[in-house]
Amino acid sequence: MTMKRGLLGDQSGMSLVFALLVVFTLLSLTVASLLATTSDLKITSNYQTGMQALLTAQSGIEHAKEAVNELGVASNCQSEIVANWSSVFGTGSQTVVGYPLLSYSVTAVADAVDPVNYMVLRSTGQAPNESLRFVDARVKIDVVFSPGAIYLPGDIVDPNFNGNKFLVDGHDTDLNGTTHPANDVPGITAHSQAGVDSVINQLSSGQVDNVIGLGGMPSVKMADGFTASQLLNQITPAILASPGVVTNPTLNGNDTFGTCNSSTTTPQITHFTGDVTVNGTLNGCGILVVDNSLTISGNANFDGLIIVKGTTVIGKNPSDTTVQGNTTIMGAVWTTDLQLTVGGSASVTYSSQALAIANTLVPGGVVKKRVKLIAWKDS
Amino acid sequence: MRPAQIVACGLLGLLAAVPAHADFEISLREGGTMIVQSYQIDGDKLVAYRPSGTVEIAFSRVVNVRDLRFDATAAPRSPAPHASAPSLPASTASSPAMLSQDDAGKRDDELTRAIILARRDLASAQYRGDGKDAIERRKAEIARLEAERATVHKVVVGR
Repeated sequence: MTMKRGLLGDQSGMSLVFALLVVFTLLSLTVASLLATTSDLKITSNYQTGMQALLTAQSGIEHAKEAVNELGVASNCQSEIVANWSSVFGTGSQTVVGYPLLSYSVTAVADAVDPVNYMVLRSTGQAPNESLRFVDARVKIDVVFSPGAIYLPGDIVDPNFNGNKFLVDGHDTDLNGTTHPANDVPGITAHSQAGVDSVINQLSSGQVDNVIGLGGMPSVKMADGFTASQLLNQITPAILASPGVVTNPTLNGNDTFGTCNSSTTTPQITHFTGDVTVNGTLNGCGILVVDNSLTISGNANFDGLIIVKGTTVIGKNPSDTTVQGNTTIMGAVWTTDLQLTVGGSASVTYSSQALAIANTLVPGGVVKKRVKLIAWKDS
Repeated sequence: MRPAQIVACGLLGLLAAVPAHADFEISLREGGTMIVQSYQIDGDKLVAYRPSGTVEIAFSRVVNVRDLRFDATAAPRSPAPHASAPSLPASTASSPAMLSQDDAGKRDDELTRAIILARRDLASAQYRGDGKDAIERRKAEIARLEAERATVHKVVVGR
């Protein structure tokens, strides 16, 4: 028997068509999914490199701020920093250490509103995939600072620490005892790495915890502060040209060079043109400049800045118990040579408050200030 | 050995292990305080003992150690400064003369650090304009520390 099929009744080939449709659909889905995956990978990669660029730009801001704060600003952001940016930080691109594909460059721009007290640091961060991010940071002149509680600006220093009766403390402490951890500095800083090495080598294991402050124990760091030449030829002359300098006062055994307490602030600039030895009691506040050596064998309390062009000796012979020099210094000591030979006890504690008081004695200020971040914008 | 004897020995051992100090307030440079049952200075660390365990603190972070028992019996003091001198624990020996030379050396260092911080604390108190009693109390404490150091120093130098 022969069966006759209609055109539509013949289903031969339809399975193939459906199978092809299913295959094409699956293929389309696969391609779409692959495209989506590739696109997502690209988005993720761009997001990652974008974040890298942003973080790199932020690193640039931090780096630039540190560079500015190493030098400090006396009174004018525009003339001291913006105008000299190539020497302060450099204009070239800088690579993040350990990440050669990440780099940043920073420029300093005068603030549109107050270019004396403010400036804008503009950082460009670069990362792979041509990712670029920009950060603008507005910074403002802040508190005065010393590179360290004791700062040795000479390229070559030959310090000497005898005995264990001294404390050099870089923790920022007000004259009333309040501390400000954000403003801490190292206990001792030197202008050169050789100076730092020299200080560390001279500290015995028992003396290590006598120098405390920022950066562990012993708190001894390098600082890109002023040089010995700047101290001797610019800073000290500026101080001594200020009004009211008391030169070579007679030491009577119970002397007061300026007074600072919570009710009275009458600091003084005191200048000794030769060697000076304090055998009695000395209380002082302000700035003390000694052209040659300073030896304290008596009891001394001083708040402010002490600059010694020669050698600083506190006490004389540690084995001689008759020499009981007890010295408490709040502020900072800048000296070209340091010999802590302490018979009684001696402490040098960093105090930005004491430095600020000292700074009021010099018209325009001589102690440099840090900058602090006050506004931030990224794009 | 009988069980009672063992228990008695254990109790004696525990009593011997009880440190000389109890209930101290340690003020840290960051501003926090910590109440501890006892403590000891070990090199550049202060090891504090609390019921919950032992805490080691870098000595440079410590600005004050206050004996709370002493404060409970002492006259009211002027407001405590933020960074005051640590009151040192009493010497573990009954007399400095009984200290070995090594212990005397350590004690000498402890006393020296305490004197330095006490002098700084005195300077802060004078700046704040604390009352005469508070100033005199600080001066007396410095004199006491210096007197002890002078005695300890004799042991250190072998005299």
